[in-house]
Amino acid sequence: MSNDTDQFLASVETSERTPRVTGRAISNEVMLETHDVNVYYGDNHALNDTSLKFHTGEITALIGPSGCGKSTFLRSLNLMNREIRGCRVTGEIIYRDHNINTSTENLYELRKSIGMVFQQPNPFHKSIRENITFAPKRHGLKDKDALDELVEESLRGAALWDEVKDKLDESAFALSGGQQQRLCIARTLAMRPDVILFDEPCSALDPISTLAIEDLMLSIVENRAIVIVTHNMEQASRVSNRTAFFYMGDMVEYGETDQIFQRPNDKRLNDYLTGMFS
Amino acid sequence: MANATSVTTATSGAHAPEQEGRIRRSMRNDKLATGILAAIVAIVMLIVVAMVAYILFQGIGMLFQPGFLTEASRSNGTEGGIAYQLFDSFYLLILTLIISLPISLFGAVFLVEYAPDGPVTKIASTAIETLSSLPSIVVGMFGFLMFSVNFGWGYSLISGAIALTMFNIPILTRVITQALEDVPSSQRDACLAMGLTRWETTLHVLIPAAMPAIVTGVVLSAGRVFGEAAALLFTSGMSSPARLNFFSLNFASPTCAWNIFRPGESLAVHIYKIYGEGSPEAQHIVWGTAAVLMICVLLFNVLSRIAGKALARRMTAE
Amino acid sequence: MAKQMPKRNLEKVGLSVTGACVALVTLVVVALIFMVAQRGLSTFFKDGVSIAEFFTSTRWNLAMTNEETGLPFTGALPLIVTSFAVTIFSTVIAVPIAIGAAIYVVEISPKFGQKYFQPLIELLVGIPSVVFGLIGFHVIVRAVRVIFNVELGLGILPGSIVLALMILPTITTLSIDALRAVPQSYREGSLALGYTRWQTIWHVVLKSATPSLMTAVILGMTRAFGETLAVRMVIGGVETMPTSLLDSASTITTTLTTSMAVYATGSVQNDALWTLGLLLMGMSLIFIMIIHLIGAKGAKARG
Repeated sequence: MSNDTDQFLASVETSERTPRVTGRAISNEVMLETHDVNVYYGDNHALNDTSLKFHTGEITALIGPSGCGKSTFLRSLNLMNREIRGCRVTGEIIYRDHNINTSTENLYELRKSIGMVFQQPNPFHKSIRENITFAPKRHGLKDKDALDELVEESLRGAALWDEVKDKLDESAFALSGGQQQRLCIARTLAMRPDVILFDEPCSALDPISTLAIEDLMLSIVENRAIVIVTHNMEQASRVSNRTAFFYMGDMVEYGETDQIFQRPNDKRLNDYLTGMFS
Repeated sequence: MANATSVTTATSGAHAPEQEGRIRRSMRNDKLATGILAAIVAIVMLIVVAMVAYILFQGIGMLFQPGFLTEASRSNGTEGGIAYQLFDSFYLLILTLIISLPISLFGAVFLVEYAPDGPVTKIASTAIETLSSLPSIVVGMFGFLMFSVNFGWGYSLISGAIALTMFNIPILTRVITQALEDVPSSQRDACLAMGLTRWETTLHVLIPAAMPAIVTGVVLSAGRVFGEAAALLFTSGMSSPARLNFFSLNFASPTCAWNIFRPGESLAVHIYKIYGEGSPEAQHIVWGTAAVLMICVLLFNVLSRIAGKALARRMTAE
Repeated sequence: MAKQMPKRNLEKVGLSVTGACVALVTLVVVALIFMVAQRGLSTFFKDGVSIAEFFTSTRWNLAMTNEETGLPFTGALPLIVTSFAVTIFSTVIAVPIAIGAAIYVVEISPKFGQKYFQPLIELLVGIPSVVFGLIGFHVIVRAVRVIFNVELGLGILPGSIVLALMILPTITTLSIDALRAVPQSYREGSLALGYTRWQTIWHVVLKSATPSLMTAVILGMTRAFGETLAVRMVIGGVETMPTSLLDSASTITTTLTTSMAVYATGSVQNDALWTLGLLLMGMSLIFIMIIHLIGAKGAKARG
């Protein structure tokens, strides 16, 4: 497995498909960081003292077996866990030099800056155009030209413009699964976020669409931090600069992706990578 | 479903005689039970079809009687037409929907989106459940005392509409709650993750997505409201004014058709009022009214299906 | 950027608007319960009618005054007995038919059930109760008159038959849901063991659906107990202790229909009628409680 990964990483790094560097750290600038984050669902302690840093221009992958707390952690970063009844998040989440995990934080403004893309493509029952403009309009952008510009910019950003520019007013449900997911990314880009959280964005997609989404992530990461939860080890090694491994509610190991995949320190991580459990 | 009979025959050869007998017996029971059940279903369906057919057969003639649908009733309903009853029924229905629809819609939104865990929510949902199980006559009595007597509205359409609202709210709330819960939660997540409020999410995404189911439920409930009578006896009363002026805009006038404080009589109440009258004329009117009521209920039934399907198709195909 | 309401306030608006609607409904229900209870109890505490007499005396006549007490005759036992009688008889008639039909359309012919049977049953739900009453008055009462050779044909029997028809769709629809909810694997397991379809239905499906089926039956009974006009049209309306299923009788609800508008609010007679209303309300609350108990027990049994 480890050798395969080696070869694969080499091929990824030389391929034209991915012009950007992956596998190792490329930035020192921290966009978002957490200190001792704990998450509780009622009495269930789902995540333990997790402290991580997410860097500008980098993709960070969160890996680990099902139920290890990685998605729970991801959903804490844009305070989405607050939407779940009985869920409590403690600890500090530092964004733009202040702790956002406070009751006074304006989470509506915050979520404009920290976007999220979900597991299942979930476009609205609206036209392609309205899928993009819906949230900006609700946030007060009314100018029609600005909205049209935003639609084009976002769809171009999500590499979807050429495919849909002639049918912007058709239903988003007429698109394929991969296109729908790219539309969801475009919708997020329209908010011009600093951070984008991806929650297993390719698990409902075919391999070709998956590669397209990965390309897309690499092309939009500039000046942003991207965090991706994935079950797909190859995906993590293909796209990420750094990787964190979660196990049973603990963040066990964190480092540059090459190191995590090639020279894991923790035995549990090693077992996980070699397929002892999943 | 797997065919149990073939399973048993295939293996029966290997069994001892008494076991074979038992198997044969249970197979016979199986056939017998199936036969009885089929007969029950046939009888039930026959009864429903016979009931509807009987009413239509008895009353359809009146519909073609000149004036039946366009004239006011005379001699306390035993002569003349049912024009005002027909109007009052629809007017009551519309008033009821105007009051009950927003309350139920927002109530359902509260229960699905906002309701905090704890005693408050529990009391609220218990209250709605209680309302749904109350006999409509009790709702009628309450409406009579509260609105007709205490508020001094007397026998009035508005008292009747509020009584019907109380009858309708639990039905609508249940339908709408279900419809909202059936919208995939990923739709809600997407909205919230873009910094929108639950309120915006509900108004602009969840309710539109749930619209086909909501419309189906509302129209079906309209059919129920349309045929309700017990809650109306003491609230909107058992008679319409002798003369109604449909062009009057003086909403306080007792003869203005649109005056919500005038008494009114629905088709169902009309049937109840004159079903025991012996004259052949009155009997014709009773059956004619029943046929009109049945046709309206059938229309609501069909309409709810068509509207729900059409909306759903438009939403997925547009 | 256009000016607009901050999101936080918008959310408060949403919470207040929806919360107000729920609060309004709750308030109305509380007011209703309070009012019915207050008026219903004043018969005993204000007018001085004896509770024991109300529930045990068999003489109900609001128009006549009892010489001894100076109060009208308010013995509600005949009404209570008749109400329970029609409820029980109609349930006895409707339950086997409803559950039988539900079994057929879920277990034996699901496609037929979904396409033809369920729309028809839903139609039956929608038929107004006065229409049931009308058919009862003209068809069932007449049939009873001919079959049993009685003069009027009004009474508990035709009342129960009409009610059975009315609660049939309620019980059937809920039973269908209950049977559908039984996991398919239960059936497959039983059939794989060589049981016939009927044995599977009887020993496995019905058994595991019992709590939900009981809920269906109780909801049917709730409807039967509170139904008013359809019963009123076929039961005769004589407020005496029923001695036969074929004599005119009167239930709690039918007495309310005929007498409510007659007596002025505040009179002893009117208060006595509210006591009947209180009884109806109490019964429907008891039915709800039973359903909750069944639900809680079912949840406990499933773990």
